[in-house]
Amino acid sequence: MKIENQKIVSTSIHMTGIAVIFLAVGVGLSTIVSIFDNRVDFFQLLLSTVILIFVGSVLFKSSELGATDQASIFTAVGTTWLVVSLLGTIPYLFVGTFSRAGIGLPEVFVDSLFESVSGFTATGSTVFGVHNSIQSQGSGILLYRQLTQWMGGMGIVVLVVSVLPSLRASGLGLIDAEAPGAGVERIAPRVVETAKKFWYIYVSLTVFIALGFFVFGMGLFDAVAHGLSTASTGGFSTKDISLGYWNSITIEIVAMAGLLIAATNFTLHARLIERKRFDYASDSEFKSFIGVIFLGVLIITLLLNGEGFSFGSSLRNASFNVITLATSGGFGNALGSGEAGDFASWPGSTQLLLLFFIVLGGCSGSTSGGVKIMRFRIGLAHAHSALRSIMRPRALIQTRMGNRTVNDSLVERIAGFVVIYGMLVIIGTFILTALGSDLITSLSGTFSALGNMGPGLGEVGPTSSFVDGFSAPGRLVLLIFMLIGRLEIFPMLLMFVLPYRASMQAVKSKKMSHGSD
Amino acid sequence: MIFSLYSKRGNSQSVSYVNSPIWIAVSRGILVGVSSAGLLAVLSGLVDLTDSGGDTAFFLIFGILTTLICAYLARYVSGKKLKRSEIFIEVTSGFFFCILCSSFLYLLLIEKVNFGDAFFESAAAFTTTSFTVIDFGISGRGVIFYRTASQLLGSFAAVLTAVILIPISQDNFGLGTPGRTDTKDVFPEKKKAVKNISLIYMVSTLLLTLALLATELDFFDSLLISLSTISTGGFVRNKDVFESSSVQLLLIAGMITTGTSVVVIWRLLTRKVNSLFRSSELITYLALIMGAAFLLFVWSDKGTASSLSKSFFIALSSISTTGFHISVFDNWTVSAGFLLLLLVTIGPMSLSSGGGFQIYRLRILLAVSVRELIRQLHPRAVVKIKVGGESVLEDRVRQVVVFQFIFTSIIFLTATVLTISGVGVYEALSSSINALATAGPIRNADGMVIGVSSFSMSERLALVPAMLSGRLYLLPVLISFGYVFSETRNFLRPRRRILHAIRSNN
Repeated sequence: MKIENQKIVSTSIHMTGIAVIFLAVGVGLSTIVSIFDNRVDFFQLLLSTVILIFVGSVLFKSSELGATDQASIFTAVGTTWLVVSLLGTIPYLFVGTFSRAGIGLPEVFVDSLFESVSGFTATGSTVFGVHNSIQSQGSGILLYRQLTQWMGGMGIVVLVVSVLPSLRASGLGLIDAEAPGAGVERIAPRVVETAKKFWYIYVSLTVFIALGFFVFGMGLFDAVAHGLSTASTGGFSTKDISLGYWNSITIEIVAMAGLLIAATNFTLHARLIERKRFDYASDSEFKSFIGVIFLGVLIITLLLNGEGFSFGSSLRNASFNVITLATSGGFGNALGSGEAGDFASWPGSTQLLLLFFIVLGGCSGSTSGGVKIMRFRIGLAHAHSALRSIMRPRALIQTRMGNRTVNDSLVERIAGFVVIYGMLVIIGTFILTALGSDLITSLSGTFSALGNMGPGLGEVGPTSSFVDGFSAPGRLVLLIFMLIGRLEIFPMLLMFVLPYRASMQAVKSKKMSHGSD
Repeated sequence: MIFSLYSKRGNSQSVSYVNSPIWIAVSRGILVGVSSAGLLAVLSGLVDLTDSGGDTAFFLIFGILTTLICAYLARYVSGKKLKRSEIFIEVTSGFFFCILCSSFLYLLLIEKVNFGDAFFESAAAFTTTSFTVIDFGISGRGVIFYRTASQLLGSFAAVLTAVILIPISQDNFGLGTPGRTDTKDVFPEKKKAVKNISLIYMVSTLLLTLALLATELDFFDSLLISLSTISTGGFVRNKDVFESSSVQLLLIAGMITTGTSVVVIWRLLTRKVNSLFRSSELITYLALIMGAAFLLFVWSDKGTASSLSKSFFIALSSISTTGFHISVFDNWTVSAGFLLLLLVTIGPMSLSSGGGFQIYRLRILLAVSVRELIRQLHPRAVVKIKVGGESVLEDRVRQVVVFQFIFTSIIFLTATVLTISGVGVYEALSSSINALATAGPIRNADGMVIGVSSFSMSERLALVPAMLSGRLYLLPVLISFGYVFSETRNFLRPRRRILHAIRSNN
């Protein structure tokens, strides 16, 4: 590690430092909120804030920006997410959120880490459950939990880039490495401006959603908390049965609308706000997104109706659950296990269709997870053109999406992504089944973690806790998959590959120097 | 004989009533398919003579009549050279009509069988899928031989399709079998390929039959099991034979062979043993078998020699997509079930009789993932995909990626149709994977075999397209489907139909 002017030259440490300070700000806000909740957890949260500010400041002050090549960018993004997720456990550990009778410190740590990673990656899977009720927690820690999703939803690195002018040169690369989708479109001449605009839209959306919830019957705290997790398509709730607690169609409609907006490419929102251009109707990805959701709702409504549910109830539950899974929101509207909205108790056909939505995800450049509509469309278009070229061997057939020709290199990128995604699913499912979970729970759990969805099928449905479906090592595997999925696979994988490659190169050069001697 | 039928027809001066290339392809497919079923019926009739001979007359009349009618009708089908895509339609229709024709045979020969059951049984036989819905308990030798030999015919036709139509020695396109340049010495031309592959099938069947004769099995049973093993069909009339350790060991050897590429086997037969060790696909195949058997052995928790042999048998039965019905260990785990599904999905080597995704394609996909990781670091780098030290054409890589996409989509669609019909999610996924990989049997989460006979007619029929697509390496069926779709669309849109007709006339 290089040291210049008594400072460590490292992009990773520098970025991590400021990200930890942001985290401290989040915990600080929660500390303030806890004052209004009879100071429940106040001192623990305050202590966490102090520690985080200290760690963040030390990391930031003791380092300066280093290399900004592709390898360093991936390492920086990966390290930032890893460290923030790890330090994010501090408030949970100090408050003792997951301490319960019969489990030791390692499992408490795994649960805290799971909740922290699930929060920052905006997954929404939770280890709270019947054994440890969400509603028994203080407001401070609950707000912190919602804030982790909010910060992670738009992206910690986007947040860092928006306040660090020194990152200007490599900013877009950093955002691109973190942002979900097949690339980030610059919406302002300067990268910092682009990052700020994304955050401006994000904050505004959060405020509007929170207002919507508040107007339609939620209390102020719950409205803000759910606003944070809706805009981030995270899915954490302040109630044990999620939105089912309110059993209100209007609240569900607000959540659905919020999730749909959040799962749409933010560039389209920026164009609407800045240039007053309504490009949604001409955006092929958005049209496909809405079309697939519409079709899914229609089919599932009919299937549920055919199973004896009333049409109204079928339509309501199908719409809510399709949208919440397609946008990677992960909220639940069931009133309890086995109730109408609990899709884990629905017929197999509807579960398989929902699994498809878990894999699919939302639009690129949004806060949603999953494989993304764009990749599916390009995959379909590529398959179509490959088959056509076999039927007409002499014709020059290109892959087209809408009116545009898709670049070959983009097709290759997507092919590589899908292949790695598939392999990770197989590896994850295999490990989880070997750790004792059943196949459907393991498969859907892996898809859910990689796509940052939240609930899965089988034992980890919308009303279940991940403690019920997976053992502690299983949860550890899942949280790794959440991180891999949130950063769209490559930064996390390369973070481990790069040190290995560097060490191999060092060994090689050592051998060469020995040989020349 | 069937192939010579058409070479002679090319020289005849008969009037051709079918001129559209598509219809020529379909007509030829029907003739080849039906006459193949007919010839097999003649052979089965002769086999039936070794038993009571009760079905012999029927078999012979059916077989001779269908073959003669097909030979006569062949004179009226144009001898025009078809494009590769049209030959795919010929292959698909050939397979389909062979299945259809055989189902009539079952319908007429076996009591209390409806058309749906007969069609499914026939489809399972020709696609070498280890599913069965008919009870052959009281059937004569002729019928049982027909059922078993259909598997060999289907398997032979599929391998031939892969070798001839989905080229391996020429560097053309090929969505099914990935292109390779190391096979020119084995299949220099089509006729040689047919001859060599026939020889491989005959020699391996004969050797396995003779080896099985050394156990307690009689000749007929040995022949049936050997036919089922070499074709990866998995059909047996008595499932208890697998409990014998000597039979198990022989079938392990048989299944290893059947999952091996015909190219490798040919080299072994021609004593080019050294080249075998250079086949990275073979090494991967053997490593997968060893790894899977080891895991099953560890999970079996018995540690005896018989459990080791059983572990190998179960692993091989899955990866070679033979699908022999054998009971699993008492303490069956979910991960063992998933491992078997994984093995079935992967399948054996390319150009073997087995189905599934096949190892060569899997290796290409692995190489694609590594390339993508490198490209993340060096976006402008030109990285060639290499498998076993040999570069793979970029077009071929893309086709394998598309193959993966279509493979997954078919599994999902079939499973969805099954769940709509009421099958559980796990069973639906397991069924669709086994059908597409032409493997079987379907097992539930506890490892117990679920008989396809417990499925409703619509559920069984939903499996047939997957079985047919899987057996023909997806491409021929997809191309045929594409043609049917576009023709239907043209028919439904009069303006397009007129334009299409004008273009065809020009």
